[in-house]
Amino acid sequence: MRLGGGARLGLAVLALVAALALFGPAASPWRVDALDWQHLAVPPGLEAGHWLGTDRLGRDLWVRTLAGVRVSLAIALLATLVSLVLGVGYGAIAGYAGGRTDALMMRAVDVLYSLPYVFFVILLTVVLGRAPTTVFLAIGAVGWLTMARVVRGETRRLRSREFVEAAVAAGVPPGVVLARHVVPNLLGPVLVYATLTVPSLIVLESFLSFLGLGVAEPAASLGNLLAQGAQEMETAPWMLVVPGAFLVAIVLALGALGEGLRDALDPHDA
Amino acid sequence: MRSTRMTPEPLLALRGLSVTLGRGAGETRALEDVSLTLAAAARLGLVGESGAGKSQLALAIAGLGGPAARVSGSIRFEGAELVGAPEPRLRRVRGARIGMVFQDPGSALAPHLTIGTQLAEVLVAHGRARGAAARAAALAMLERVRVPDPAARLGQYPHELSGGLRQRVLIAMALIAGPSLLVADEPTTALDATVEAGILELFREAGSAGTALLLVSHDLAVVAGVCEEIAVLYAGRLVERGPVRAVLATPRHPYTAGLAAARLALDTPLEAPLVAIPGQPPGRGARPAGCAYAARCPRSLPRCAHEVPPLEAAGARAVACFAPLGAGERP
Amino acid sequence: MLRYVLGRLAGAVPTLFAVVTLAFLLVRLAPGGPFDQEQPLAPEVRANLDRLYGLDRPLAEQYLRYLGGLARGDLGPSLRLRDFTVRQLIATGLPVSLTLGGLALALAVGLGVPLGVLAARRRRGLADRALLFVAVLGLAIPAYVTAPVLALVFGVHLHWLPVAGWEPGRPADLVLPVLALALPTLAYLVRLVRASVLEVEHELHVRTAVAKGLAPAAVLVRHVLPPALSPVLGYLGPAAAGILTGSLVVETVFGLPGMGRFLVQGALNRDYTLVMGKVIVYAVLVIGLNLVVDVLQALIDPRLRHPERP
Ligand SMILES: Nc1ncnc2c1ncn2[C@@H]1O[C@H](COP(=O)(O)OP(=O)(O)OP(=O)(O)O)[C@@H](O)[C@H]1O
Ligand SMILES: [Mg+2]
Repeated sequence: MRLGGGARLGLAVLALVAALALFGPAASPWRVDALDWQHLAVPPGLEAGHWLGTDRLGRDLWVRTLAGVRVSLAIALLATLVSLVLGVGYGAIAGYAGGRTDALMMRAVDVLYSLPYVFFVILLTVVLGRAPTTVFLAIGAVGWLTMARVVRGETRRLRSREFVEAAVAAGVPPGVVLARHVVPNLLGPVLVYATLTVPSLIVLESFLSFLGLGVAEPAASLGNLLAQGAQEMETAPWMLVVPGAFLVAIVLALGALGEGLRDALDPHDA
Repeated sequence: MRSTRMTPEPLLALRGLSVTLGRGAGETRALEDVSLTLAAAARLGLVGESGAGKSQLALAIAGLGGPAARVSGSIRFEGAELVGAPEPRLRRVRGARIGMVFQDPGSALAPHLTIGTQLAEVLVAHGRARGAAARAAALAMLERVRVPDPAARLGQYPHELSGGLRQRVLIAMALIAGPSLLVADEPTTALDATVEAGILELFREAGSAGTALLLVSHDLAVVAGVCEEIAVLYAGRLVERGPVRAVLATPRHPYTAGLAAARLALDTPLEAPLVAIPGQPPGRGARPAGCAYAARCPRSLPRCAHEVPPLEAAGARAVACFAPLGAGERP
Repeated sequence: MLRYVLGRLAGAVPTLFAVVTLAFLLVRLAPGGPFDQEQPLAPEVRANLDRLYGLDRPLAEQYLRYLGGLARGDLGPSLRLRDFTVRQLIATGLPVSLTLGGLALALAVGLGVPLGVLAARRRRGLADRALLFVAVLGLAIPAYVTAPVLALVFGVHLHWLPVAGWEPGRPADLVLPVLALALPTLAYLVRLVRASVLEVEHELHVRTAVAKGLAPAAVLVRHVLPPALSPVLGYLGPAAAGILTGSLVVETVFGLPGMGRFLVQGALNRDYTLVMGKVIVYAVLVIGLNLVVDVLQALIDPRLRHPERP
């Protein structure tokens, strides 16, 4: 598989952002929750030692933003993983079984789909408490529905393909056919879908933070940084622009990567 | 402008036609320097192995290769050049002067439009008829290709028809505007043998009605049954052409001889050793400097490895080989 | 076709029933209750309130009572805004959210579909790249950022449009909230339509259409768009339900009395009946819109007109 220039650029940007998120905070003398009373809400610059400025409480935005990127990326990736495991398992079984089982399983998905997702997320956070683990579990538990639909459709298509039918005819047990012949072939579409899911999950986490249900202070996430920034955008615009720029970069890079993966897996393309 | 010379220009003339697909490392020459003519109302069969470039040739004639296919050389049709012709001009040719029939009638028909709409659409697009008149013409056309219960079919969708009926519909669509050339790319490959015979009959009829036919097939029997002439493609090059009977009876190119022998093998008892052409055609991109068949050819000469044999005509036949077979000779 | 619609309609009833049941159980899962406030109520007051609203009965009985009320169109009193019934709250909030959402939806579809087609036509060209970039921005920037930015720029600084408020007959009030609400859907539609059109353009029946000599516009409109818009409709069904039942962020930023806040507020306050009311409105919309989408998709693709699942 060959990736185009856009996808490779996206991958490079992601690698850079990830490296910054991992090692960037250590490069600054400030800690995530350290307050610098001498420098409240200073704009980005070199003099104060706060390269990307500080917030109202004098907390360093370089450190907070990169730590927030780390948390947000981790939440989005874990949530994607959760929805991947649930969705692929559920969708593959439903699509493979077909008939009544399939109809029943997908009816259950229809029911869950008819509830607003915020409803689930709020209830989960209310029941389990506000911790990053809750947040990603909640988000992942919502995301698997769409994944299950995507996977079911793909499985139904694969089910009628010769190599699967041949395996079934040869008496291979259903579980093995699923694991050996169906699931590996789902990888392409699932991967593409996952690259599209991660950005939307980052945005969803930020919405939860805006509601006060996301990652709790003083820990940082892109979401709660943006939510704070949005309130200060007239007086301290950098508080919005700095985390916003990282979010946009990540989402753009993932978008380019997803697009590139789609192209690379697309048999039509020359 | 039409030619006014004594010998009229053929209906279709390909000169030095090449088609390149893909870019960079994935670049492939699907067709290389193909020259070929087809007279009005003549029936030519185009054969070759999978990947020989048959479909690309069929598509190139109507300019349907899409942006991926870069075409060079010349395609003259009804006295006008088609390579590089502006899109609106090509559009007036497509469907009206050149009808196309594709291999898989299941996916070649639009699933969301009725048969009647898809047939009438051709006439509307070319300003021939519309409304009730177009529908009447569609009905007449379905009758002509012997679709049973044609009036009911007009309102049906492709998925409600069998494969054979769909192919008849596709043929009706290709013929409805009265084209002078019908290009059919493996029109019976997706159908079973009993259905195939009926479809081939339609092609013979179209020929007698004055429509020229370019029939792409990998099946020599099909070509022998329908066409007067045959052209053999190998790895994007034309290696032999001539009257069907003569070419099959006394093939001159070793590759054609191999094809004919492989076909004969089907008629011989099962115990007889299977005659297949040993080796593989050259893969994508990797095209040898000389004759592409040299590596598999039992008669290859040293020069075949680095010199491309030109297509040389002798009477009604032509062959591209430095060591052609004589009459009755076996490779 | 009629049989198909009736069949789907019959199938929707158990779905709605399951949704109501599940939601009823889930809201009760959360610890705490509607009357746990900052300053605790006297135990007897609380007991009285519980008795008044039937919260002291066994859960099964409460459930049956709720279903009974529902059958009569009674959604019960709001447990926190005690002067109102949930039906009254919805009756005032829903029209606002529907107006806003309807306009936003029209804008998103009216602009998103043509732009998506344009991007597909100019694949890899400048217009395509620019559109995709803007679409990603539209998706990445959350509404709670775009809404105040819009208010700030067009309202506070340029004074072109009102920043907040809602008066019937003042359409200018709606411009900014509709924009903010439409943006993410618009952005998503551009990407979805583009991908879908590109996918269908590769299908063989499109090549046949070109081979018939149809003009590019006819190929696009008759052969490419109908199948390409089918998945777009599939996305729009549930998305429309979300937009039409109100956005918390947009309605809060622009001070609009819609029903966007019902869910979050209701859930945080354990206003069970209010949450259920919003969930039911949402579910009815999702199920109804999915039905409409299914019918439209079956109109586009005759192969779907058979009642079993594809
Ligand atoms: N879209 C494409 N991009 C790149 N190469 C292509 C493409 N389509 C076809 N080719 C290549 O062009 C060559 C000719 O293909 P073509 O489809 O014309 O063969 P064919 O003779 O019709 O074979 P078949 O009998 O299998 O239909 C092959 O080598 C094929 O691999
Ligand atoms: Mg072919």
